[in-house]
Amino acid sequence: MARMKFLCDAERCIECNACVVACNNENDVPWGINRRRVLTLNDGEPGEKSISVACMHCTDAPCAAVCPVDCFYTTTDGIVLHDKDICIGCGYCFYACPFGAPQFPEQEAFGVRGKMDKCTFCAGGPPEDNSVEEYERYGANRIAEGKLPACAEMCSTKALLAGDGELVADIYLTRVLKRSGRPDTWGWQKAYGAGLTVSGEAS
Amino acid sequence: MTVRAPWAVLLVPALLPLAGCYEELTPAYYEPGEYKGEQDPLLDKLEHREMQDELEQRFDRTARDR
Amino acid sequence: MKLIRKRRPEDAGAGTESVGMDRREFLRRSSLSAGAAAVAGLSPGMMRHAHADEASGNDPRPEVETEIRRSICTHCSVGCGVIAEIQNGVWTGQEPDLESPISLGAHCAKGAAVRAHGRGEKRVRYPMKLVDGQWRRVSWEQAIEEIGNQMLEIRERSGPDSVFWCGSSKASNEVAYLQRKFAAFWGTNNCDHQARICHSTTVAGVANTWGYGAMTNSYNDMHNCKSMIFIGSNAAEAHPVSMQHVLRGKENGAKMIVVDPRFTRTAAHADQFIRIRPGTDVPFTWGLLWHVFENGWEDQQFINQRVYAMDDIRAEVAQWPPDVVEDVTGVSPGEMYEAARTMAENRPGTLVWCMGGTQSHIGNNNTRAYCVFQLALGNIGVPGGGANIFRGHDNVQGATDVGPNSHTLPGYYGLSESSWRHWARVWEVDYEWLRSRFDTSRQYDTGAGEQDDIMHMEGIPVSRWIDGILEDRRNIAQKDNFHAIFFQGHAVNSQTRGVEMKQALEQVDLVVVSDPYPTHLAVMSERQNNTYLLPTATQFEQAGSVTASNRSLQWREPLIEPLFESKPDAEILYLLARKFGFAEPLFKNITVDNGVPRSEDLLREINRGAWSIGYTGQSPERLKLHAEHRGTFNTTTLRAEGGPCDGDVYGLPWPCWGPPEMGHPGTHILYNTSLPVADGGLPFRARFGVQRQGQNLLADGSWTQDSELEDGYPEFTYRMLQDLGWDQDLTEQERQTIERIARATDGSSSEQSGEAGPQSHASGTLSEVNWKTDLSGGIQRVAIEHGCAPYGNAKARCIVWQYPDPVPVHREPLYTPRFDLVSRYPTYEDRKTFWRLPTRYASIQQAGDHSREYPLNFISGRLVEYEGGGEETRSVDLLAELQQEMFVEIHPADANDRAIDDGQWVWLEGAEGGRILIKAMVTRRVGRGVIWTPFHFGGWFQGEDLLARYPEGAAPYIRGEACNTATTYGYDSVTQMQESKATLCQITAA
Repeated sequence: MARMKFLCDAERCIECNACVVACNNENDVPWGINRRRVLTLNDGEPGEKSISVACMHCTDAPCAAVCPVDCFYTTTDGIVLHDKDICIGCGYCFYACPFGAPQFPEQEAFGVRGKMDKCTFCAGGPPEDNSVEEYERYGANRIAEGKLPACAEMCSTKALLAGDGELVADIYLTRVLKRSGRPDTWGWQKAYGAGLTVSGEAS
Repeated sequence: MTVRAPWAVLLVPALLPLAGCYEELTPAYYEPGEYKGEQDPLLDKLEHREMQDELEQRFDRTARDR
Repeated sequence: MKLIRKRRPEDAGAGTESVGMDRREFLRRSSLSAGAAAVAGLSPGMMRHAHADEASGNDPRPEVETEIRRSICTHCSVGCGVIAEIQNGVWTGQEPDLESPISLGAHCAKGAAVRAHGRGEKRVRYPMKLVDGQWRRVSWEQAIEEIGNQMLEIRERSGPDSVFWCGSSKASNEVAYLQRKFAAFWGTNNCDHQARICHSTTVAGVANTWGYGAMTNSYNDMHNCKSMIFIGSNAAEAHPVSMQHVLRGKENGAKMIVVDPRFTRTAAHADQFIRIRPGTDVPFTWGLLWHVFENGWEDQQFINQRVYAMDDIRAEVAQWPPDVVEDVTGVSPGEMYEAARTMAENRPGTLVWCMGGTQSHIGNNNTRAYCVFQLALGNIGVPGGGANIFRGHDNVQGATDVGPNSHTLPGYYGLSESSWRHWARVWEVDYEWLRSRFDTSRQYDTGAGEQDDIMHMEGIPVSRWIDGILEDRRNIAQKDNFHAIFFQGHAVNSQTRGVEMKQALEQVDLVVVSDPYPTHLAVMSERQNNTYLLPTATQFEQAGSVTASNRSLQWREPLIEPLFESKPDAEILYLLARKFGFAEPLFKNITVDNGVPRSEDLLREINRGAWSIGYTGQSPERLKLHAEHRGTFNTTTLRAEGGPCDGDVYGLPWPCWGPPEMGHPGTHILYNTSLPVADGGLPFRARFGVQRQGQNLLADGSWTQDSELEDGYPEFTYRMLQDLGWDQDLTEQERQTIERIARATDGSSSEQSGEAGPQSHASGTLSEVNWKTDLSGGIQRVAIEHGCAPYGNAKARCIVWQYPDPVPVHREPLYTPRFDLVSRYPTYEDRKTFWRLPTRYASIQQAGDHSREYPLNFISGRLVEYEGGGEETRSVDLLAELQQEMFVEIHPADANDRAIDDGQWVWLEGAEGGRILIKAMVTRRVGRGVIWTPFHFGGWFQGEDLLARYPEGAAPYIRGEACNTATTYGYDSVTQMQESKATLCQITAA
């Protein structure tokens, strides 16, 4: 069984924001909300590195662990999704998440949060796959169509990889080998609990 | 666990107009860690080998330098 | 607190409309916040666009059938495939074009947002005219009638040269070609497009070195590099998808060097970054070559066989030892040595350059110096080598090749009588009639001490149109000033001297903007009347071909119908031509469907005429076949492997010799002698004669594979075929065509790119019909059958004896921070007539030390989210959201000297007094003494937001000061390229 993962190869990421725009375009995310963003370290100085970050769809996702209403579920291949009918917008997941993924787009006066929104790995949510309801509430469901997340599929340099963890690792390690450098797998260990060199890691 | 007395059932609707608000009277109870939401039809689809193969092939087409 | 570049300060109202806070700001705040209240209480404005989206009904619907259509991204020259999902004629979704051999499914931010063009929220919806400062809706009929009448009246009064026709690098090849042809039928050479201010110095410099002024290899070929040096190119932001190939090359082991005044996002990926002073490209390049010669790293065999006059370069390079280079460029001897060694030890290596090198008053020297460097290392004509010139706009290459250039006819045919006769034959119009369209009342000063008919003189280029209005009439080499300007697909905020531009706009009688958006042009002046907006379809609403930077042509099919009342560019030209009375001859061989000239027919006409650069084999049918089977092409060699296009190079990169039926595969890598010409091989072009001062200009002991002539040879004429006995190979039909051409006219056509002298041919005989004028293609076909290049086999030349500087030399910018160097490296003398206009050099540079008042070096460049003048991309919500403010990058030391904080409003004042109000971004990305701004902004002018001057609902989401309001005078000594990458300014707190 596949285990879906994201990896952003910092050696290839050029901070072109294609992933951010592809996500917003594909999922019709409103102005002011980002499911994905690109962060740059040492901006403008030697050592500058950029990485694209969204929900990493963690193994033992901390968001699910702290959710008081248990609105999270995980698909068999490891995609972490949630049900907005149950979500109460408490924001615990936001504090638990090491990647800052949960967003709260439905802002109202006096500090009341709306439902949490985050990257779905382009897998929609509980409503019928590719229905209008699913699209409007959760965004596109590319997985149901046999496609992968739009951000990775459109990445300008194929820095952002999304797919089965073993295949992702395979591509990435080939690149590392070619570069004869050390792997620089930002967030991988944190999200999936194991380094990239461990083959056949548990999901 | 709260036990509601019959009088309270009558009293709460009566107080509502006064309070100017509404409160859900049948709270749900959850076991920690167990998903309580609607079943996502995607989960079944992902069980199928064909679906997995399709995604794997897609990855090959999209992510690999060719 | 360190601020990242794209932060939007909380108080910023600048240039934004209905925007509360940007995403990054939101994220930044929310990630710092400790309490729930911090993420709440956002401005209600931030949700507005979601509602606009919903109202527009562009969401995909599961129950509606989806049609897949394909186009090519309309932003940069990489040429990424676009796959659109269309439901009921509405563009509802985008998918990656995984089969595109160029992009392999990838996009940058701009490409990932193109679906938004299908909504067109900020488009001009119907024709409008300005009446007493208010935009009024008019009908198309009224607009064409009023514009047409005024132009005809101006033509009558002031002659055809009094209208400036600005075409576009964003138009398809067919429309760009039509724009040039249209200007010719109107009777003027006053037409131009963005290439003038983008790579005109490249085209002239490179073509005059080895034949053709285009990228020699391709983005894909960079997989093969062993080293790469980028000079004045920030590919990561300007050509993001090219970086897929660049980084693959790097993973394959290539060493990467980036040379720039600024530590760019491209530099962040380099093995070596070298910071140079703006405008010192020649000293830098000669400094590298100094080490090459010093250590004997040059490829002497290559030079002996294929290069002319390298010794003249040696003499100049000897003037640039490491200490002198360090003084002038700021680069240390150690850095220079390291870079030179990297390039010498890792061959083949490629040299990439962009506008950092071209936009200089010695831009032609810069580009020729780069070429010479690559020639010295033997890096030309090999996979992994080359001069990989990354062009700018999506079709700037094609529009340069066949479009509206004020100095050539399509195919670089120049403006001589024989060139006009060639195209008159292709157009099937009488040459004398064409001539009668021009101002024949008298001859004018060519600037070279001669008088000539204006038909044979370069027109006023787009970099100087404002001088066509402002200059004293007596100083202009044409009948009168401009009284009308027509801009179809061009952003004027990309041109320098904004303050004078405003003045020019307020002075000219008639302004017509044919564009999907109002553009900065419509709002920057205080004009009250006589300004028209013609809603024009985007390229996603039209069919046509587009030439990527690597010379590959790709076919676009229309994705959606023109939005609102928009019309395709060609239809607008058709309506005007009808009004002017020349529609019939203009579209003689072009089918016009309901007023829209057919793109396929226009391309076939290009195929019939553009022999000089091999735009003849790319028929619409072949291009469509390539589009359909694009998945069969190898992504490194670009060759189809199997399938119906087997052996072809993707997009038939020009030259694709002969008529389409000849089946030439296109030329992936220029000047590659290891292949037969029939399979895409080529030598250097014999373009500059056969001998000079007793020295042979033809190749010595080098020829393409399978060539029957095993040495250098001149370009092919009918006589040469006769001499070789190969004329027997011509078919009867071909011979008849050649005879017809010889009979009908005086024979040959002299092609010229830019300003190199045309080759002179004896005229009037059969034997002088040549490979460029033979409309049958027979001469090309027979030459290629014998393994020869139609254009001859010569040496590349290191000196261009027709140019102001035969050997590329350094000259300080007109506005230099090193006034002390002016005496050693002075600019040129002022010129009285140059491209019809007086052009100043020394009188500016030597007027005094400008750097006393304006001590900061001022350069500009691109952001990944926006493109060109930015009007279109700033009108796309998905992109506008990511870049909400015009800013200036300034070094911490320079900021401290001026007590400027990060995020603070500042005034930037250019050395000619133009002032812009922008935000400071304090960063070490720029060096001390250098400041950088993006050039995509517009809609503000000297501190004032021009929102009120836009037609209602058509203002872009994001507006800001155009950096070129503050840029200055200075034009290339060959092409009139503007000097916008080396000027001066001062910055003060606002």
